[in-house]
Parts: sequence; structure tokens; C-alpha cells
Amino acid sequence: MRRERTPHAVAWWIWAAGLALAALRTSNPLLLALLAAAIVVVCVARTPRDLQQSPLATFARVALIIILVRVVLQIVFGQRLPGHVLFTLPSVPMPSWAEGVSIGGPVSIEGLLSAITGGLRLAVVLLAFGAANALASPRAVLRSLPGLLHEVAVAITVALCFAPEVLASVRRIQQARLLRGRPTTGIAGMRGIAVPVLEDALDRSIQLAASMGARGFGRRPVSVSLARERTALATLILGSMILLVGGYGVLAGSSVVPGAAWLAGLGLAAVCLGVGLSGRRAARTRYRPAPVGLRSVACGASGWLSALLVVIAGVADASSITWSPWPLSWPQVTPLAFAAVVIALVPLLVAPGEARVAAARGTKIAVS
Amino acid sequence: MAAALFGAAPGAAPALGAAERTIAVVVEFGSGQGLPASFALCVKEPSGATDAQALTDALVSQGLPAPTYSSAGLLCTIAGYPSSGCGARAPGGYSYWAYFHGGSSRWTYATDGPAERRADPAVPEGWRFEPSGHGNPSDAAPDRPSATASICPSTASPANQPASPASTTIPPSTVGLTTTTTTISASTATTTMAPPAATVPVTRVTDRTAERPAAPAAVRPSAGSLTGTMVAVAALGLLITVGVVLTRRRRS
Repeated sequence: MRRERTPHAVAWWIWAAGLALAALRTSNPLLLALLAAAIVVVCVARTPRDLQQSPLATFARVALIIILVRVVLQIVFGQRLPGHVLFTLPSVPMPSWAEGVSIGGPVSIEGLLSAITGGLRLAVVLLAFGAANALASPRAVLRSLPGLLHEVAVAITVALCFAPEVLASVRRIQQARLLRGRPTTGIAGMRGIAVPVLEDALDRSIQLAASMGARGFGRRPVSVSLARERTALATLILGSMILLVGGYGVLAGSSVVPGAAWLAGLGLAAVCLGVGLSGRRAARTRYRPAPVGLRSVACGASGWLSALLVVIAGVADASSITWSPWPLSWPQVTPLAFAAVVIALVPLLVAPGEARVAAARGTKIAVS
Repeated sequence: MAAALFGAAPGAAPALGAAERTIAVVVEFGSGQGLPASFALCVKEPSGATDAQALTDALVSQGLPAPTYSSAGLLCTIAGYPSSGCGARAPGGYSYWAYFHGGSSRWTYATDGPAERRADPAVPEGWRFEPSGHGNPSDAAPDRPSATASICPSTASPANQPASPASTTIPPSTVGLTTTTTTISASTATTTMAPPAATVPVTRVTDRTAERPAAPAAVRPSAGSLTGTMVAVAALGLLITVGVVLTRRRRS
């Protein structure tokens, strides 16, 4: 077994999922901003790549757009709860059957703050997964999936590879058309680009399928009985469905799903059983399997411990994680919620910086 | 900026001079011991005002805390009740403020929100706290009659309204104790007494309006305790600085 140098790819995704959960549980803008800052700091400190090209930058841009869209929607169609009115837009009177929709009207500070906070919550979720993308490639995660999900993982890997390939293909064909003096914009340009891109994509897919077939990806191991495989798959699917309903009930925190915690536990047990039943199915070797050690455990646990602390803070004092602009007040961050942010930074301690990893390997990092 | 901002009353003054209509607002806390007494208020609103605005104006002009809403826009408290929780799970159901539209015959469970509803003089605004409701139209409606005429009898004869400054203005602290039905002008935010009891047909509002619900001491942390905010802002600044320094170092 190789010694663990960096946290496992799955650990980074577990960390990100925990932080996304923490963000979804709170509506406190200050806590959300702290979580966002923690995610960005960990990602910047532990990513080998240049920040400009990192997936985090792309996700951050999308997050910013989401906040902007929320604010614009609030200004144009938003809730008109009483508040400190900033300015009043001309309003369109709606017929009685569409009274629920308001266009224009008074725009209040409270409404804008509510829109920004709502957008920020989604932005933190996006940042968390953007950071996970930057810290560990999704392909590395799919490689570590249990044997039962092998085919699904292969399909997703192919799909994930497909999107950037298409973008590169579009760029290449655009350049070629520019050199030839053909239009690259408008309907004519689109037609001229779309056909070669589709051809290109089809060619690549056939090529990929052929190469995967040659490497034995479509092969089914003979040793596993079909009945057992089907039982495992049925258990897994049923378990994930129960887990979905139960998990929703637990996260929503309302009385929508009775016995949500029990359902979630049952679903999780069924998923584990399904995976266990078919654990030995994929009889394939792995090239340089990534070891799982204390670093990975600490990294994954820190995200979920952070989420747990946010939940506990909410149970102890609901007003510490929920914030509403009606009435206006300064958002407060209690020590428990603050501890959640500090714990989210634990990967800074357990994951070595890129320089140290390179030194340990005795190689020099190529600046990409 | 913010201190002044936060201190101001959120009951934004409606445009003066707009045609004002009297909107009936009914607030019922349910039956049970230790609950605040229910009340009905009549508030003057310009045309185009929403039910949410009418409710805020009615409460603020009585010296009661303005209603609070969750970040999603769900009404949490009226007159500071309940002191904790907002649309929370409760033994036997879901505790929340149910919103009703009145009418000549009965209350109907609203399918819209108070901020989306234009206040209508013919449609009183009804709020009833459901300690163990279900969040659907099977929840109990207010006990009061649902017609405007029985909630705000004075609206039938607007000429009788004492509108001049000479009319009796009573301090908010005593108003609920003495009046039968209180008519409030939102634009002036003064509380004027309805015509003397002798000339007003006594309605069922009378006995229930006996007491003003007591506002809880503090629903929100007071403006004085800003330690949590300060520490968090400082930490945020620190994290941002670290992030910027790391990015700079990466680039060089």
C-alpha cells in the first residue's frame, strides 16, 4: 500500500457536500459569507492550478450571475412586503386571476437583502462544488465508485469528457472559419459550426467506444451470477429512493415526511447492502490506487462536522442561523456557528500544499 | 447609516392624498389560557396598498411591533407572537399564522400571500394563529364575523368620522382598553377614537378588544449586542486577506 500524501479525491467531495449542506441550513448572510471565504481560501491554498483557469473561477462567475438574477427578479417581480422603500418602479396592474404576480412597484431594502441572501446561499453551494472540482477531478471520484455503479460511472466519465471536448472542438472550428473568412456569428455561422462539431463529436464517440471495447470495459465477469447481480441492483435502487425521501425529510426539517430519520437510515442500510452484495463484481485492476488514510478521513469529516455544528447551532438557538430582513437587524454569528467555519478550514492543516507534495515525490511541478 | 435605518419604523408612509379606504384587520390568537386577547382594527389605506401594508400600519399605529417575516417571506409573528419559531413543527401538526380573506358570509383560507393581495375594503384581512394546524383550508377560521360591516361599523357612515385635529387622540397605551373599534389613519399615524359608543351599534368586537396583546420584551437581539457581528466581520476580513495573499503568491 502506498503511503497517503494528499487526501483522497472522494474526501474532497465529501468535504464539499458537507459544507453545501451547512450553507443550505442557514439563511444568515454573514455565516454564508464566512463559509464562502473558507471554501475559497482552502481551494486557493491547496490547488495546484492557476486560479484563473481553475473550475472555482468558473463556478464563482456562475454564482455571481445567480445573485444578480435573484436581485433583478426581486426588483421586477419580487415580494412587496412592507419595508424601507428605496425607489418605486411603475407597476403594471394585473387582472384579478393573476393577482399573485406583481410587476413593478416599491423596491425596498429588505426585499433586496432577502434576494441577495437567497442568492448567496446558492452561491456557497456552487462554490463548494467548484472547489471540489478544482481540488479533485470528478473523474478520480468516479473511478472510486463501487463495482455495482461501474457502468454508470463509465457513462458519466464519458459524458464529463464530452463537454470540454465539444467546447474545444467549437473553438477549433471557429478559428478555422475565421481564417477562411467565413461567418462565425449569426445563423449562417451557427450552421457552419454546428455540423462539423456534431461530426467531430460522433467520430470521437465511436473512437472512444472502440478503444474502451478493446480494453474490456463492456465485458461482464463470468464468475458473478445474474440473479445475485439483479438483487444487488434492485436493493441499491430501492435503497437510494428511500434515502432520497428520508434525506429530504431530514433536511427540510418540517413535518412533511413522517419518520424521516428512520427512512433515511433504512435507505442508507439498503444502499450499503446492495453495494456489499455486488462488491466483487468489477474484476478490474486499478492503476496506482489512491490510498485512504487519516488525512482523507479528517478532510471529509471536517465538512460534515461543520454541517453538524450549524444544525446544532440552529437547534440550540434558531435565530443564530436564520436571519430575515423583516425587521432589519444585524446578522449575528454565535460561537457554535463560528466553530463550524473554523472546522471547515481543517483541510488546510491535513492536506499539504502543492510544494510539499512535489518535494515528497521528488519532482518539480510543471506550471500549466 | 445603518443605526438610523434600523431604528426607523418600518411602516412606510403611504402616498398622501391618494383615495383612502378603510381596511378591516382581524387578529386572533386562538383560545387558551395565557394567550394574548384577540383584536380587530380598522385602518385607512390608500388604494393600491397591500394587505401586508395594512397589517403593518394597523399594528404600528397601535404601538405594537410590526409583523416579522422569515427570509422566504412567510409571516412569523404578529404583535410579537409567538416569541419563537416560524412555521414550526408542533405536537399534532404545524404552528403558524393562517391567513384568511373575509366576505359577506364566511372566511376563506387564502391561497395567496398578504404582500400579493391588494387591500380591499369589502374583504377583511383575517389572521388566526394555528398552534397545531395542518397548513391547509381545514384549519380553523377566525371566530369573528367575516363581513366588514360587523368589524368596522363606522365605515357605513363615513360622515360621522371625526377627522379634524380636534378629535380625541388617545395615547396608544390606553387605546385598546377603552375603545370598541379603533379607526386609524395610516397617513397621519394618529389614533382617533371612533364615534362615542352610544352612536355606534355595539358589535361583538367590543368584548374581545378589551386588552392589547403584550409585546414580548425582545424578539430579536437588541442593537446593543453587536459582538457576534463584529467578530464575524473581522474573521471575514482575515479570510479574504489570506485568500488575496495566497492568490498573489501563486501568480508571482
